[in-house]
Amino acid sequence: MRRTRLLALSSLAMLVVAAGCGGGSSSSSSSGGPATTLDKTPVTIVLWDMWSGREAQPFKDALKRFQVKYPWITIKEEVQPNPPNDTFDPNLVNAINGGNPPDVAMPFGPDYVGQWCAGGLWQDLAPYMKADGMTINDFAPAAITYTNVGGKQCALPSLTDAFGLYYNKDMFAKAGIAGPPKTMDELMADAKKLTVRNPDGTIKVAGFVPLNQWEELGPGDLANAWDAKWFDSSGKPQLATDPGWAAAFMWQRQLIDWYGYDNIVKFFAANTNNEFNPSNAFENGKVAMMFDGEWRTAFIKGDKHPPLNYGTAPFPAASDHPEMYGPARVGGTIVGIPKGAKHPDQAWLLVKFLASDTTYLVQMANSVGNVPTTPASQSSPELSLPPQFDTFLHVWANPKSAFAPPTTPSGNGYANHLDNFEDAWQSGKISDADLHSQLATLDQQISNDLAQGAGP
Amino acid sequence: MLLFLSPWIFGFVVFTAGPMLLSLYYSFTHYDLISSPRWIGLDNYRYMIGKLTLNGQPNQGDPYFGTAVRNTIWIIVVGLPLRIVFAIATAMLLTRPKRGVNGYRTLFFMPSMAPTVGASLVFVYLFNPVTGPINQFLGHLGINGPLWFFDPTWAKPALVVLGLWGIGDAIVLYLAGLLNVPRDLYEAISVEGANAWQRFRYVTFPMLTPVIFFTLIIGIIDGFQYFDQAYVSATTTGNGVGSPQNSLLFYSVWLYEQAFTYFHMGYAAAMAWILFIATMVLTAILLLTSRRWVHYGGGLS
Amino acid sequence: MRRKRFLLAVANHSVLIGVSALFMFPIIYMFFTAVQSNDQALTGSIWPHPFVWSNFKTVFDEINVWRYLWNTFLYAGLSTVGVVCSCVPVAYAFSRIDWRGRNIVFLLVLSTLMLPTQVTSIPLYILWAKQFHEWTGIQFIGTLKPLIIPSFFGDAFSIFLLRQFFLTIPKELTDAIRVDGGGHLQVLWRVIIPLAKPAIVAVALFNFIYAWNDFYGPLVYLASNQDAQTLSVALSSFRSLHHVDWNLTMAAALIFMLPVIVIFFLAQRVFIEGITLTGVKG
Repeated sequence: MRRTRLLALSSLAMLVVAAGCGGGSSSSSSSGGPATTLDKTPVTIVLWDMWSGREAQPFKDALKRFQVKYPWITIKEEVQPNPPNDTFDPNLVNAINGGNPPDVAMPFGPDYVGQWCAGGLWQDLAPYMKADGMTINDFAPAAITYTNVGGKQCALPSLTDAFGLYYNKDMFAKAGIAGPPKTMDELMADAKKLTVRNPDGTIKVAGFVPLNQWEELGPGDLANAWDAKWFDSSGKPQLATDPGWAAAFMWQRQLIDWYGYDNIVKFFAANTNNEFNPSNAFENGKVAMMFDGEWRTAFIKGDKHPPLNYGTAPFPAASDHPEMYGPARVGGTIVGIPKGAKHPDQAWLLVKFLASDTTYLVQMANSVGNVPTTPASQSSPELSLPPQFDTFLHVWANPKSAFAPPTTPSGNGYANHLDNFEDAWQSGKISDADLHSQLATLDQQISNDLAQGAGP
Repeated sequence: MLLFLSPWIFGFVVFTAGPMLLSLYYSFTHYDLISSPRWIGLDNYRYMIGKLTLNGQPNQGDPYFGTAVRNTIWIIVVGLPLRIVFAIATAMLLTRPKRGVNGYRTLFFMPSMAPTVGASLVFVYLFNPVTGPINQFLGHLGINGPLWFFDPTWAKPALVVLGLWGIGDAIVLYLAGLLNVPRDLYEAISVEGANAWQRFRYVTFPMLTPVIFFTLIIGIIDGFQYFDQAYVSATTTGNGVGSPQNSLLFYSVWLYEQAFTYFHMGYAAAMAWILFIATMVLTAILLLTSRRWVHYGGGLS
Repeated sequence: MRRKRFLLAVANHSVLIGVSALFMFPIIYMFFTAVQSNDQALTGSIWPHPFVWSNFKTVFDEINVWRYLWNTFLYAGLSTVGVVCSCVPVAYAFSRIDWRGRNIVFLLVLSTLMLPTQVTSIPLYILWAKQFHEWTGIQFIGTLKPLIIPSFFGDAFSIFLLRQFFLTIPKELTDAIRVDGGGHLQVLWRVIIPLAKPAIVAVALFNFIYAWNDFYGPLVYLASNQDAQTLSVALSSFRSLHHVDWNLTMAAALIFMLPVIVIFFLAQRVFIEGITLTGVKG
């Protein structure tokens, strides 16, 4: 009984939407078309998000705009707490299983998209998208890598993060280096040249900190320069067989040894807490180059720090992989409709708005400093981001950019194994000679992990 | 008797027994919180000890189970006795002065009130090997401070210090216990010319044993479920959960990861029940042997 | 002799002051961070430049502190009442009445503390969301009810604590009433409760504090109704996507701790008075 009613509603919606309404979509402008015959009975939909602090007001303003556009829909926003351990996603699973999910969910990251899409905990958006003439590739080639798992398109991106190289132009000029490094060899050479040591050997200014989890440098980000892939075509982990991984780890080892592990760890410890405050190492001239996300440009603009003449560029690629100069890791906030949502059709309107409404994307990009995810928003004249931001727009648009680590139907918890490996590798617990065998063990662990996830 | 017990019986049956039994059931299933649980018998337990065969392939099993167990045992064996000793000593200090005791007591108690997330973050900053005051102070003394949360050998000791900082609640209990000691016992023994140590050994300590027993059992139960501080300090300083190098991967932390990051709810349930059995056995032993060393009854010995 | 006593007092106080300083040091650190500007918070320089006293006011502006405080009081207060009322008789049964299987059932009580909540929280949530809702028609999710109601049915920690204290009360005191033909209820009311007042106050205090600081309970059950949220959860409201307000978090944490510290300061009088009375009696 309920099912047929839902079917009828959605066919009605599809008919109506196909008739050309749906304002603010990326493909067409919102004017013209026959009068909208959306179901306009007043309804309240529930939204879960985590926008708080100074990011709360811009978001609330955007929601008000939505309600002006769709006056019969009232949004009840439940701002979820955001402690260091992710509680948003487990709570969402609880709510779905308990039968009272929100209508729209907006987590800050796609770590659970495997469970959402392949597991069916979020609804498949394909029918809605088709009716509105929207495809995932309207956003960028990389969008599908973190919104679609197991063939199910259950989420849309809403602003995103993109990563690249930040470098201190003044330091480069002083050291006589013409431009940012384009290859990993150049990166190593420049890092060494730009490093300044204290008389006692400790590091005063680091050229480039090669340690895992320095700011945003994640496991796999260095290996990306060699186009190293986590899984082969049959889905087996291949960190031991894909030569890019070993090359990346050896590169890292060389630079760590050059610094001296103790020195670089002390430098790491002294500065790791300052990633998000104005004592940030890069902003204060303590680091010459770093791998970071696009929001750093907004921070640099807003924070108080000594004058910083900086540039951005794509992160260097290995000399034998020039095609990897340009793409990088991307990914960020996603929106979707949980299974069992009481008002999925109205929820879709909000999802579409948050994913593709140009004004929303532009306003949030300006205030929060994230990458606007649609071509329309990127070319909007209202966009007021620093010139260094362009690098990240290109990274997002690059067809080889992707979310990492790759999502699987059981999520991407398996990447913890690489974090642990890096921990041991960096500290020298694993020697050069053992690298290959330890990588093979790592592969085995990841396989076991995924096998257990799939179950006997 | 039954009337007196009835609130607890009702609560147990309605709120506790159901979820407990259900989690036992989950431990024999493959349950990913998405589809219905699927019965797999003892496979979760086999995975735990690395004796599982999946699809004809021997599976290495859980690589971190042993580490999680070892870390948890360490923090209990090292941390709990220190806590008890320190709490008794501090409580005894508080029985001495005549004035201002209320104030001191409140000050000692305050840290245990601090929200665990905030407290953990503060300690991470205090123990920062370069910018934190602890190492700076050690530097003034000419000691090259360790890397604390950035060194696998020193991360757990730092957490032990955090635990000692928060013993306000134990101090309150021991204070209650100390003040409960009948004064005439002390008078009787000093008439015989006993010194301070003998007073402690023959009067104070025996009278404190009920409280010690309590904090011992609760300490073990809580220790096995130690989570917040470990999770926050590991994720704030470095390479994710359990870092550095899995030194902070406690049983409860790993369980949480299995349940809510990996969605291996069946396996997490298996881990939970193994923990339960271990705690139960330990507690039963302590309970049964308690008659030997715990001294109840307010009468003279 | 007086001089010796004076020196002893000085020595005692010095040690106490020293230990207090150690305990208070991190809290002072929290306080300094709370009055720093966001730029300076947790950067490693402790002394605030400038002193931003308005941070405390900002906390009240950014989150609805009064409402969350009220919710927290409601939760802590009601659950404390529930625990005290239900645990005293139960603890009595385990300590002052002799019956077969008492130790085994006590072990069962303790066992409820031993199963990690990560695996029971989900079935329990589903129970409240589905079964209990179907049986009673009451909406439990999105309210504090799933947290408060079980406290009226006993709590293993409190039962254990009370049992320990009840066991120390001499049998001679209760025998008098039993000999006169009094029932257990009379013994409980006229002997045990007055003598165990410090323990009962301790239990009330601990439960109040536990509920006050409870993070995961309200987090899970109030996810769909943030208006009913408690302050312990609201403390993590100062973290957004790329932005953390550590100074506000610390300020909020201090505001959060304040009521309980005041309650403790006041409660310890009752606590200590009760103890010293029994101490003198012997």
